[in-house]
Amino acid sequence: MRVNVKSIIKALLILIFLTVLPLYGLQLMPGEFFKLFTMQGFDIAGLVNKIALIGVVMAALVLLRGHVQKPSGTHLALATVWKVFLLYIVFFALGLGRPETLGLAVLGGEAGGASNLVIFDLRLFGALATVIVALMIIRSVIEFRQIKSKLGVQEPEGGERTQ
Amino acid sequence: MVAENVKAVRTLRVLRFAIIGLIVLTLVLLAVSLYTLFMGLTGAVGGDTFKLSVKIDEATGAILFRLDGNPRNGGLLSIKITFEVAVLSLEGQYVARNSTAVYIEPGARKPLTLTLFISQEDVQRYNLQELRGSFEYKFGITTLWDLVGILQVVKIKGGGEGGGGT
Repeated sequence: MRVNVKSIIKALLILIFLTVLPLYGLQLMPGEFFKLFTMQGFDIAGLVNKIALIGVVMAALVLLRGHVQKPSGTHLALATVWKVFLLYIVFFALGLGRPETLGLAVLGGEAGGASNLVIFDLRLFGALATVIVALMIIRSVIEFRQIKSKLGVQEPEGGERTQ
Repeated sequence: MVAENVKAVRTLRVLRFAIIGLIVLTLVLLAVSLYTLFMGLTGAVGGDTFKLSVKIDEATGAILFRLDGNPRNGGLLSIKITFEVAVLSLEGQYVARNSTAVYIEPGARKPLTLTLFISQEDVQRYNLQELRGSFEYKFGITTLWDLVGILQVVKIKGGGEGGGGT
């Protein structure tokens, strides 16, 4: 396996900016901030933890992608996973930390007999992002098949073999 | 083999442009619609845009809510502003509810009026004179053919056991 220094540096930078710094920033945040965000129905600690996890997964994917040969099934699979992961990040951002809402972010909460909810409907952009990612995956598959046919690669039944 | 390759190259080129076009379209629509929503919000809630008055008829006890507004759309796309006000009983039943919506073109201003009348019978039946039950209001602003928007839902519970319970 070849060592891809560029991908290692990229993965390290992603880990620093998306995992280490947010978690360190969370430690420095005053308790009043947490109370304020919780009152607004915003779980800031949960959000930062999710961002940190995204950082770890993203760094791992960057590292793996950098160490896989291009015209291979593994590379295609990783490229597909990478695109789906980017779509997850889009939904994460649109849903303000809740990707399961698919772009329908809800903020607010209940306090002292009164409730205040603010709902952001950004599902259109989630749908557009899904179409873009689907096209990107189709493109990757066609590209992969083209490269394979150019290299004269044969795929026997039950596995793949590069000649 | 060569023909297949040419076809694949063409498909890849078409897909490449489709992807770039869709990304640009998404980013432009996101920026324009968020800007329009933000400007629409500042034009709707800023200053003396809306006036709420509550009149209680001393003789009969009937209540009349009236909301007058003249929101302005400072965005790039047309917006739709919706208002809904409702009064609910302690059991969570709607005693009175009314809503209105107005479409405003970019740079324009449009008057908006919403009234909610609660008759004397309903005031007495649901003990509203003692501020029992709850008040609910919804304010929505949408743009891009109602595909993008913000909705605020506020519920204020009045006195009485159990609050509004909605």
